[in-house]
Amino acid sequence: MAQGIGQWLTWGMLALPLGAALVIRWFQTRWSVQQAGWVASGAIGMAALGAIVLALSVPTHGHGLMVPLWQWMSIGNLTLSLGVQWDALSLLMAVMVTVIATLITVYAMGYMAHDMRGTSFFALVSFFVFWMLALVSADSLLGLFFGWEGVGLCSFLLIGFWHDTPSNRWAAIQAFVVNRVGDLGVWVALLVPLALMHPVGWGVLGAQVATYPPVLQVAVGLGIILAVCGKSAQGPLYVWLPNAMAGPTPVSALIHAATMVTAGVYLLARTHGFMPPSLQVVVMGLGLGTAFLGGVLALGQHDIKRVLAFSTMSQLGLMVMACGLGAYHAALFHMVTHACFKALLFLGAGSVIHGLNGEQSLARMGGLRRHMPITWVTVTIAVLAMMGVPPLSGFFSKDAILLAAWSHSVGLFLAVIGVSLLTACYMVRWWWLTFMGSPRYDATDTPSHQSPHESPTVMTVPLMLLAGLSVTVGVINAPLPWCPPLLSSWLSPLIPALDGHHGSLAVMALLGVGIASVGGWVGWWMAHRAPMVIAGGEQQWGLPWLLAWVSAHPIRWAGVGADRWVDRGLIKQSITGVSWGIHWLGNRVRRLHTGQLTGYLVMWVLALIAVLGSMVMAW
Amino acid sequence: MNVAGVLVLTAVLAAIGMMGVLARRNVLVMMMGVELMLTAANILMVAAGVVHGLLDAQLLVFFVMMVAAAEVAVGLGLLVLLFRFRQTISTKGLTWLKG
Amino acid sequence: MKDLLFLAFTFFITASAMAVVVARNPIYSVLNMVVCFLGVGGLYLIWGAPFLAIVHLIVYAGAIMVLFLFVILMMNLNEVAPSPWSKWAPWASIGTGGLTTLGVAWASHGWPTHYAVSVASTKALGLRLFQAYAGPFELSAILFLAAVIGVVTMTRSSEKERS
Repeated sequence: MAQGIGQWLTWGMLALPLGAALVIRWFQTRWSVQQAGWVASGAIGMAALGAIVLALSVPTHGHGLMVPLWQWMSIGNLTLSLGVQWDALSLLMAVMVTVIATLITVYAMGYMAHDMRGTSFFALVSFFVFWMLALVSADSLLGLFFGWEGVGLCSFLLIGFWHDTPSNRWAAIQAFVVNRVGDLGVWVALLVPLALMHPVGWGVLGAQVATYPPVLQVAVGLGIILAVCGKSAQGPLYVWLPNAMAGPTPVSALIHAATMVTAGVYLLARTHGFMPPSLQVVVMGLGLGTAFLGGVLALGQHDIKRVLAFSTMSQLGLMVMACGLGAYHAALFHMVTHACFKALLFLGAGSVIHGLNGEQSLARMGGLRRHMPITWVTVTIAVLAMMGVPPLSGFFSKDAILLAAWSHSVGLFLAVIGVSLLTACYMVRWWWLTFMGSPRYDATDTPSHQSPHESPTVMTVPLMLLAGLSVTVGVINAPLPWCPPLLSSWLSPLIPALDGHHGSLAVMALLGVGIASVGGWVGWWMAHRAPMVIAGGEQQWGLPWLLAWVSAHPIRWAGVGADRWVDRGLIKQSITGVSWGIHWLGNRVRRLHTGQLTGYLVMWVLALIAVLGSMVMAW
Repeated sequence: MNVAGVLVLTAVLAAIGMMGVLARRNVLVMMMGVELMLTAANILMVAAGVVHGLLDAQLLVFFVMMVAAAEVAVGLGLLVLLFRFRQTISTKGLTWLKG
Repeated sequence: MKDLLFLAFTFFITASAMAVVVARNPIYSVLNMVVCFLGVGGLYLIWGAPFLAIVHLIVYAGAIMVLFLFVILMMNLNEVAPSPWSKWAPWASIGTGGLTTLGVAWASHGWPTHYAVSVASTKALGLRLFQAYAGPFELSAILFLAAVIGVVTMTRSSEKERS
């Protein structure tokens, strides 16, 4: 397509959300929540349109469309600049981000309608979308880092949106600090080529890293792994994600389900050639471990949103594992489908919370299917998609991952089946406790003394649209005879596909149904027999406490110790010690000033003898 | 005349003079010690004049004597002042430089 | 002969100098000082500086020591301050004199060179003084002037006392 139109579209896509953020901020006190919401969704919607147009017209071979934006500095041979690169991967991310963000922003107009500071919410959401677009469209690791930091900042601001409550503030700080640890990883990955004066653009970086000695390759690889752990809540850095549920539900849906946390997967896909095989095994193990951990921890939660948070962590683990296997197409496919039904699940949870006027504990829900039918139907579709029931989208994407695991080893295949069983288990438990059974809430307990009501249209329409997507988006890569694998062919020039053998569709379908049934039955049993509030579950059986003792507390002790012993002790004491020493010396010398003439004369004579003697000696 | 002996005499005399200055608190005796040291230097100067055969040495001694006389005059004037204000000529109480 | 005289004078000078320092009574110190100067004058004589010997006696013993005596007597400073070592004072001075004489004798023994002594005439001294050292001579006059003015200014009575 013409370079000029591409440039205009790029500028528009980046400028519209940023402009909306600034405008809403400016008119914050004069606009109502609805007005701000329309401006925000309009801007993000137009950005989505721009992304779709670009996606349909940018050629898939070569580097795609490059739009240079700003040259930052040049040092010797090295030029650092910020620019935009629209190729298959970045456009995939851009479309997904903007479309889902539009739906969530529309939903938020209803959810935040009665919030006192609702208008500033939309400014922040638009700001976030801008940074996320900057992240995915960057043409270099440096540009990605800018967006990385930006989304981290917006995440902090949005998690702590209701900052009157101390626990919300703490959750926001925790999210930011843990993300910072991950940013250290991006730093390392950036600094290695920059220190060697190599450019860091995506086109050349892969070839560069391949020429490094193994030590440096491992360093870059480990840096990227650390970054992924931080942003996508993998491994020991997961602790911020469940606490991030302190933010409003649209925030959880947008940032912590569909967009920001997928930036880690995006980074892995971008750096698909960087990892030596040993590190790829690490990535695989990390993803699989997190997937299991997330599933187990999700079973112990009784807060409606925290179950979903751990579910996100678990699914991201599957995606990371797939990247470690080399099955990038499967990982990205699952990312897209997961974004749709996870956002739907979160928005549905938000609808439930809204309907119950703020109740968030599963222990006090139940029987809501009668009062909130639209929510119930859409959420059920999402749950089925999540469990991998054919022919919903989740089935196809999970199928791709299963096949990739099968091509690696039987053990891995069984492990992924285990994760799927866990998924089905906690999802059904969650679904049953929320919607089915008999009500455990007391209508007189709710602040408005009315039974739960369905959400307004502005909230249910996005639910329905997302449900539609959850059903249909599987076609982009489904191995069905009448569906061309659009995604794979689109991505192939950029990232090679994994040669796996494609299993028989019927067998996989049966397997999917079987897993969903078995896991679902266990979940139903847990919902009925096991206590709703599982002992220790809310505290994740002490795991964050353990992680803090291993990492955060030693660092804090080191800091306190450095302050007490080095800063105030050594450095300050050495300086005051110099002053004290001079005082002491002065006091001792002062005793020579007796005032007695004879004493002075004696000292004078001694000095004279010393001087004359040295003169004689020298002579 | 033997130079070695002169050196010994002069050294001893100067030492005695210095001892007088440092060891006594009576200002008069201290001034006499100073005079002794000057005398020692004079003796050495005259002996040096004999060694080199120069007349100038004796003239230098002459000048030293003149300066010594002037110095004694001024010193005794100060001593009189000291006695006038402190009613003592001991250096024991002169501690205003202390500290 | 000259060497013996030198030793004798050494004894006198050193013993009396020691006595000056250790004597308790200031009058004793002054008188011992005069003896010391007598010895020094004798020393100058045997070294061929007669003019210098006489001037030394006149200036030091005659003027300076008299000044000391005046000050002592006018201000009644001749109180004797007792000291536990006072009775050893004579022995200290004689001992010092003796030791020094011995030391001088021992030092002179191995020294190879003996210098000849020529008597300096007063005329030669005078010529030298007023020809080569005329400048310092005039300056010394200013020195005395300064000393006199200084002492007079320092010690004159204040306005209150005079009126």
